[in-house]
Amino acid sequence: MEYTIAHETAYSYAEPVQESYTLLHLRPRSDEHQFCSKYELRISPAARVFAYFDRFANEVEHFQILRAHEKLSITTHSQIVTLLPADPAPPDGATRAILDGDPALGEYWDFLHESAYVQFSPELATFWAELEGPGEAIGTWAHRVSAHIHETFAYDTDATNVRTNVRGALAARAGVCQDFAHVMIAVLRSAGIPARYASGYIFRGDSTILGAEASHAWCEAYLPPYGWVGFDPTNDLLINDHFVRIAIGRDYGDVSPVRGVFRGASESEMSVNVAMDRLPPSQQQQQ
Amino acid sequence: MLEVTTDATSSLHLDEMFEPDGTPRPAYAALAATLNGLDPEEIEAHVQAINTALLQRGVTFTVYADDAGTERVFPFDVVPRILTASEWTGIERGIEQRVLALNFFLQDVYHEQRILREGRIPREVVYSSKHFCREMIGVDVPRNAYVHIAGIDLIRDPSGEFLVLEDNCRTPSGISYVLENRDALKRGFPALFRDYAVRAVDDYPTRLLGVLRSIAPGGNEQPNIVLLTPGIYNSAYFEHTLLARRMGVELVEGRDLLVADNVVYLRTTRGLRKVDVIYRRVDDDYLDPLYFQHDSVLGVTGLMNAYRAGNVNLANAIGTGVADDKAVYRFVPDMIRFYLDEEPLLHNVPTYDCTDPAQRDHVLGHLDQLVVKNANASGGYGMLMGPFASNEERQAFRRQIEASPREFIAQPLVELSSSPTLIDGVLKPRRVDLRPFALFATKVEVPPAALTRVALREGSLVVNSSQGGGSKDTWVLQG
Amino acid sequence: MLSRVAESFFWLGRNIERAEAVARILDVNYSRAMELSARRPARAERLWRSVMECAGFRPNASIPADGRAAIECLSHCAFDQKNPSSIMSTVRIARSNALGIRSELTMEVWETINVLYLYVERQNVRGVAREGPSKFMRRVRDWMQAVGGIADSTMTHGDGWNFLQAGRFLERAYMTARVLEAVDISLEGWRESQRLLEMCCASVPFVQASHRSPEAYDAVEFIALSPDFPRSLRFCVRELDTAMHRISGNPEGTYGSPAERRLGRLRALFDFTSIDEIALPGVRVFASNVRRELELLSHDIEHSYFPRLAAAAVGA
Repeated sequence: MEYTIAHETAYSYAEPVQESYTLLHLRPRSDEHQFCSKYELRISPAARVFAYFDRFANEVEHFQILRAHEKLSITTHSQIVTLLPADPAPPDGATRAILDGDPALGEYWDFLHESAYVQFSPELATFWAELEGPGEAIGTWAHRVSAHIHETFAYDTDATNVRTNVRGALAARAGVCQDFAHVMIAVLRSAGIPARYASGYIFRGDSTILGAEASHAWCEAYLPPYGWVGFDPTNDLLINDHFVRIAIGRDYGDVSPVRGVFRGASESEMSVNVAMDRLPPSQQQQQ
Repeated sequence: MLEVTTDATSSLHLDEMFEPDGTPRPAYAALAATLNGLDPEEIEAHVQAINTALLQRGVTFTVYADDAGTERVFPFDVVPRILTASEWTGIERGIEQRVLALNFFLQDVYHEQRILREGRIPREVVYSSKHFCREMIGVDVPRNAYVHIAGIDLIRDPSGEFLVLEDNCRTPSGISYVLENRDALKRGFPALFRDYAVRAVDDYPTRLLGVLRSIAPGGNEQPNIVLLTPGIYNSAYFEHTLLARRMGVELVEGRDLLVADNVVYLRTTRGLRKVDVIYRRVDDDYLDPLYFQHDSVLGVTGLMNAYRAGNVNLANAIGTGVADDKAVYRFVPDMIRFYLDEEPLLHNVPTYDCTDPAQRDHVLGHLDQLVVKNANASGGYGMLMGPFASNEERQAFRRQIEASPREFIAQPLVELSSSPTLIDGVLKPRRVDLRPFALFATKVEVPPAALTRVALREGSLVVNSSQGGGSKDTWVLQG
Repeated sequence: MLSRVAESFFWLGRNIERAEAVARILDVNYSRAMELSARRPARAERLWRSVMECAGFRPNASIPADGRAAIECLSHCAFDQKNPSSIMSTVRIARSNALGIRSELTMEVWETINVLYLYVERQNVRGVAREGPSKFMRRVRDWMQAVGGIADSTMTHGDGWNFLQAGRFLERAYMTARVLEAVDISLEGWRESQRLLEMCCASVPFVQASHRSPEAYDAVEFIALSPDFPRSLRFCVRELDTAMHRISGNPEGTYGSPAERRLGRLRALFDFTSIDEIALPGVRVFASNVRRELELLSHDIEHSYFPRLAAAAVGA
């Protein structure tokens, strides 16, 4: 599949901001899942953009504005070809034995432990009681965890905010894609299965899929022999060719799309707009 | 007449000045004779005058535990501590080896992680360290030098062997006292130097400046160097001013610096001026609000980006705290073997790992005999001296260890050596440690400028300035 | 030079001068109050009221006429930590300014300030009142005067010293203007003129220059317009102008910043005005206009050389 995506984040400040420094995780990755053939970033007021690859191989862009400004807008236009199948097979062949014998396991320490948003809290222990133990078939089980979260959590944009961690999401039993992903990560990690956070976009198509209005987020589990397998607990889906991945990390804190420090204003308003369209096949062939 | 003798018969520890039979050690013989001829009241008056002068000149440190930080003089003792040329050579070699290994370790854990992959250090120990800075993974630093300035704390056990008590790889302080103590002693008690050839300490700032110049990005030969201080309320502010003055570099606060397009600049009355090297005395957590503590006002927004881009160098590098974590400490001998293929010249104090259930049980069962330390604290804060602690204090530590074992290590109580110290006009044995400083750019240097701290309270084994310690001039004798 | 460092030098200069001036004014008036008998309550009240005004403290309630006035004045002007112009506050601020630029100061300057700070920190109203305030006041006055002299003779006369000079002379002019504003020479003839001169360290210089006792406007003329007396408004403005031009590198008589332009106007005013033009609107009005100009000038200097930035806020 091939998509075009426009993503605009706009801030307006109550008083002029004198200096602002901003970090972005907005550029879609080019890797084994997808190929980003075009990418354009526009900043207003104009700013010179620098970039580097972080330790997860995400491309982080950053810029500073050192003159007074009352508004800031960050717009990206990208074109991506996704390489995953439309209907991926579930990772039913993944077992605890294969995972335990995997030589790479040691390197995933960060994906097996708590992180800023992901705590192994008493609330998590309570939630565990609703799940049957992972047993040997951890691939099948991970899929069940995704389905269980999908069934027992309400999608509610007012229940949580960007700072809500796993404890908060478990207490609310509701939230948005970020919370669903964090809960699944917490469950998998506490079961000894490496799990990480993925941010990106999901193509809405004609069906009613949640989260497409803005950025999306899901969970990836390390399930050898398949490697990293993506689960979307918000929609109870395996990651397929409708998903575009921007960044991976331990949790939202590592990959927040726009993060910044500014001097001057105390209050700001933010708006986000994402438009994702599928390119018609005829156009795709010309590429 | 000052009575220069010792009450050596009952002591379990080594006396730096006296042989067990009460005669002065050869290196101290002349000093003991000179001291013998001095009038105790005159000495006391002189020492008082020195301490008053230190206060008036503001040679002070700030104690945080008191209300809102009180300025205090680090009390100065008149009796110097002597290290013979051969003792010093041993220390020097041992520290060179240790600091080199610590640098290799940092380069490795932030890149290939060979030492973790090969299982020589458990990944858990490194990854659970508060000061393991994940932002530094994959970041290259000039010359692969991370710890440019280290302070290695040594103690001397009853057999006379120097042991490493802890490494300080972040922003070790104390060199200002070395410089001040030497000045004070030379001015106040010139007679003491009469029979000795003591190696000078006053070229330390020049040597430090040399290191800072040589680590400039891109080999810039005229780098603009600044010393970044948290400000006038920091406990080591005096030291920051002294080093900035003696090196002739600008002393700056975070608000004096600005990052634009990945380059660090100074805000001056004539506009912006580029900065190449920052000798920073601000902790990692406060360096850049964009990446670390978001509400820090001590740091410089965007500094991490400029650093990663290689446009500015920092001394020490970011993330060096993982090397002086007290839970990592017990692996330093393994680092020396792993990276240098050598046996450690300086040994560690045996250390119990509280995350290991068997060792933790041993620690909890012997709290009345052990010293328990917080793995990430320094300055003598967060420490239990088991044999001297009350039952309540021990129980409080028991609960803390059980709740967060990774935060604590335990060591047997080492009877550190003592040095005669003037207390109320009389020389009394008081326990001492030794902090030599190491400088590193291309090779490790150990200037003969070491700090001797002394526990002024009778029977105390804690020498930290914040815990009632004082300091002595430390003489490294010419060979 | 770092903007922050320049700012600290400037404020160090201002606080040194202010501490010195407040100490001097208090000392002069204590000694005068001793000669004023309790039978002249109106005069005593006027005296203490003017002292407090000079020291930046506006008393609104009436001042008790008995011995308590002196103590009250002492506690407000010397030890009140809420009054930024009290001796204790100015010494503390000066010391904190000096601490922040310690590596730029000579050891001699730093140590003088620090020793005075350690001394002032150990004092309190009761102790100072008991031993007679004069000893305390004179010590502060003498040491602060010494700081100026030591700075001149030990520091390189570069940007730092020039900012220090700018702060010192701006504050000195400012305090002289305040004294002129607070004293009403029309009321008591030569006695008040004499007090005015003493509060500005000017009684002996005045006599030496004019060889007579001061008539009402003679004293004002000397303090405002003397070209040579180092506390006259004219002298201070000229020194300040010179310091600012040394910093900018612009030739004197020209301007490259709003601060230099305002200074040029002020300098011309003092160079070409006469005592009659001061007496016409009244000394008080004249002095208060000068004080306001100096306040604006201070803002201009801050804006040009050390723009302040708000604390960082964090956005998501």
